[in-house]
Formats: sequence, C-alpha cells, structure tokens
Amino acid sequence: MNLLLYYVLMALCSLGSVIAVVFAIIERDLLKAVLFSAIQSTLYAFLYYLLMAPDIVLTYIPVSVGLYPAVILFLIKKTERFENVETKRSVLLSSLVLTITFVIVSAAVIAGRGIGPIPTPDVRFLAAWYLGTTFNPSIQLVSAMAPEGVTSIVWDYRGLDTVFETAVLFLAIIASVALMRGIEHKGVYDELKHGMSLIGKTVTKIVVPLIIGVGISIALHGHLTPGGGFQGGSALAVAPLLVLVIFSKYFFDKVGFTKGKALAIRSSGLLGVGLTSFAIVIAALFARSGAYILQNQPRVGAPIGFPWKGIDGVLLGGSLLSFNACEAMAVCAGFVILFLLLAIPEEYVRKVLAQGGEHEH
Amino acid sequence: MNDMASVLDWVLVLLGEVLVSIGVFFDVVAAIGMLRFPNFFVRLHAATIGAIGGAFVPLIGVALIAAGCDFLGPYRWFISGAAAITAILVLMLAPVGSHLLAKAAHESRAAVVEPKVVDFLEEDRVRGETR
Repeated sequence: MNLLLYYVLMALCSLGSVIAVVFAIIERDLLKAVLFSAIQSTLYAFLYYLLMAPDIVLTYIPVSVGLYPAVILFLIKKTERFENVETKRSVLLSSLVLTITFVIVSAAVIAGRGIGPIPTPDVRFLAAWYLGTTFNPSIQLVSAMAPEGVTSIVWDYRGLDTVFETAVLFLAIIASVALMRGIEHKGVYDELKHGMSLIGKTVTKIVVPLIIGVGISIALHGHLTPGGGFQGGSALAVAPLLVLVIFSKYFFDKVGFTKGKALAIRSSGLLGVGLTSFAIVIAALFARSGAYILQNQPRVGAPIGFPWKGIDGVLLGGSLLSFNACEAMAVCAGFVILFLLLAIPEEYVRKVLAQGGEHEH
Repeated sequence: MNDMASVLDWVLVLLGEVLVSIGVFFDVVAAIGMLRFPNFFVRLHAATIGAIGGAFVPLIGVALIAAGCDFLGPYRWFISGAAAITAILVLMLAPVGSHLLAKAAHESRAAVVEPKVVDFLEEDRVRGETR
C-alpha cells in the first residue's frame, strides 16, 4: 500500500514535469519559459527525493532551480525576451505524439518485465555490502571508515568516476574561458550609479557571510552528513552571484577580484584533488610498500592510509575531507568565472570581436 | 525536577502551537489579499503578510515545539536550531525582496499604480529628486 503511494507520487511528478517541459517549449515569452523549466526541475528534485537520493536533491535544487535559471536569465537579458518564431502546430503535435508513444512503450516494456524484475524494497546484496562496509571499524581492510554512505561511494568506492566527472565540468569551464580570451572588461564602481538600492546592498552584506558559512559547512561536513564538495561549492557560488546582481560587476573590479584570481583558486582546488588522489602513492614510494591511486584506507598489500580518527575520536573521513574541501573550492571558483564572463556586456564583446585580433595585456 | 522539565516542555509546545495557529490565520489573510487587492503594490503588501506572519511566526513556533519534544532526544536541538535560523533568514530577506520588487516595478513602470490615492515617489521623480 505504502509502495503504491510512492509509485503514484512518482508518476504524478513525471507527468507534471512532461507538462512543464511542453509549456516551456511552446511559451514565447522566454522569462515564463524559464519559470516552467524551473517547475520541471522542482518536480525532478521531488522525484529524486522519492527515489531516496537526498544528496542529489541537495545539489539539484541550487543548480537547477537557482544557478541554471540565473544563467539563462543573463543570456535572455543579452538577447531578446520574446521568441519571434511561432511554434508550428505540426511541431507541437508531433512532439506530443512522440512523448505519448514514449510513455506507452516504456510502460509496456516495464509491464512485460522487459527490464528485469522490479526491485523489492528489501535491502539487496549490493546495498547490504555498502551499508556493512561504509563505516565498520571491525573490518577496516574493506571499510571506507566514513559514516556518510553517499560521499564514501562518490570519493572512495567509485572515486575514479567522480574524478572524471569533475574533469568534464572543468573542461567546459576552460572552453568558455578560451572562447572569451582577450576580452577584458573593467569599469569604475560608483556606489550611487551601480547596483540596486541601499536596502538591498545592506542586507546582502549581512546575508553573504551566512551563505558562505552554510556552503563551507556543507562542504566540510560532507563526510558526516548529506552534502559534499560539489553541493557545498554550488551553495558557495550563490554568494558571489548575489554580489554580482545587487552590487554590479564593477564591484568585483573595485575589490580586485578578477577572473585570473578565480582561475587561480579553481586551479589550486583541482591541484588539491589531484594531490589527494596520489598522496598515498607518493607516501608509499618512501615507505617502499604497495599503494593504489585514490586510496583512502589501508588495503591488503597496501598498508598506508589516510587517518580516519582525530583527537578525542573525532571522525576525519580520511581522504574524503580533503577531496570535499578542494572540490568545493574548484566548483565555487569555476561558477564565479562563468558568472563574470556572462556579466560582460554584449556590445563590448561585439566591439572587441569586430576589431579582430586580441587585446594587448 | 523532572516534573518541572516536563511542565516547561508542555509550555513550549503550547506556545509553539499558538504561533503556528497565528501563522495559519495570516496565510489565509494573505491569500485573500492576493486574490482581492486591486494592483501590484497592494498585492505585494499581502505577499509580505504571508512571508512574515505566515512563515516567520510559524517557523518560530516550530522551533519552540521541537524544543519541547522530549522524545526526539538530542535531535530536537537540530530541528529547533534549523527552524530558528530559517526564520531569521526569512525575516531579513522577505522585506528586502519585496522592497526591490516594488522599486523595480515602480521605476520601470511595469506596474500601473491604479487605483491611486497618492504617489510621492512619482511626484519626486517628476520634480527630478530621485536618482
């Protein structure tokens, strides 16, 4: 009975998200389209919650409801708010037919047991293995020795996957930096002329430290409670975004926070991720013993590991703490680079491009 | 001593429930205002009633209820603290949000002030006294 309720809620969320996507496509006012897209993201977040993935919800909400619409809104501001292309009825009809066909076919496949047996709510073998080995001092040679299961899987059991996911994200950021190379836009910040009203600025000054505190705590507490490097970094990136919107871009020039400095923070974060991956290998070179890349705790034939317990039995989480801290730095600075690039006025970019060649530094 | 603690818990829970009830009242008032008020600026006023009376006050109530729930063990302080911090954030952010919305709507003339009794900001702008 309880399970049926879950399935009904999940089906309603999926249906709602399909409807929201259709509205987002046919809406000609792009601002409203962004709103529909955010509704779809909210429903997806709820789906993830129903699928019992709270950490993904934690990342999904700031990124897809906060950052992603913000980036799109920036882009809309630079181009046009209204689509002048009328969505053709035939396009709409065929996409509706496609969606309905897809839903019916996938329902038929599931009903015909085409994807194998539907999992039972009982704990299966793989889950039992993770639950039994995530934090288990009695079998340290196979345990990750950190109580947060998801962070342990992300950075210990499946560490290599996460490193490559990080690499993909940062390649995208490097690509955008390369696209905008040589385009430097600076201005003099004027307290009265730029940004929003005094009330807005004052409250932002109060709120920004709070957001930074929350972000850091999500990142540094990631090996104990739901959260982690990426989630903490996304939350941290909201603070500079607020400053950018409320104080204007020129405020960054006034405090001397440039794209180059953000790149330096991002690179040192990535360097930290790399160093943590190889730390045990380097230590094993001196100790003349075996070691693995991305090793966290001692394993058979590789006796060196990160400390998992500090003074008074405080749980350190081994390599997870270091990974989370470095990843948060890199993600936050990466997003700041994107925001700073998107805040450059379009006319200025056009002017530089029209001149041809690159600016002298 | 134990009796004293449980009496205190009861008082906390009762106080919290009173605050949550006040919140329900304000939420209903805000919803009616959103539907019935004539223009953007007055409707914004109704929305702020919902944010402060209907979110800040019941969140404080939730903090009190959680603090009075002995069966939650030490976790009651987690719930209580989180609710209190959220309440303080709402208290700071909701007025600023509505202020910026109203200012932007007035400056860009996206919302018409109609029906209007008096609009000092408009008069100032006509005289050129705003920035």
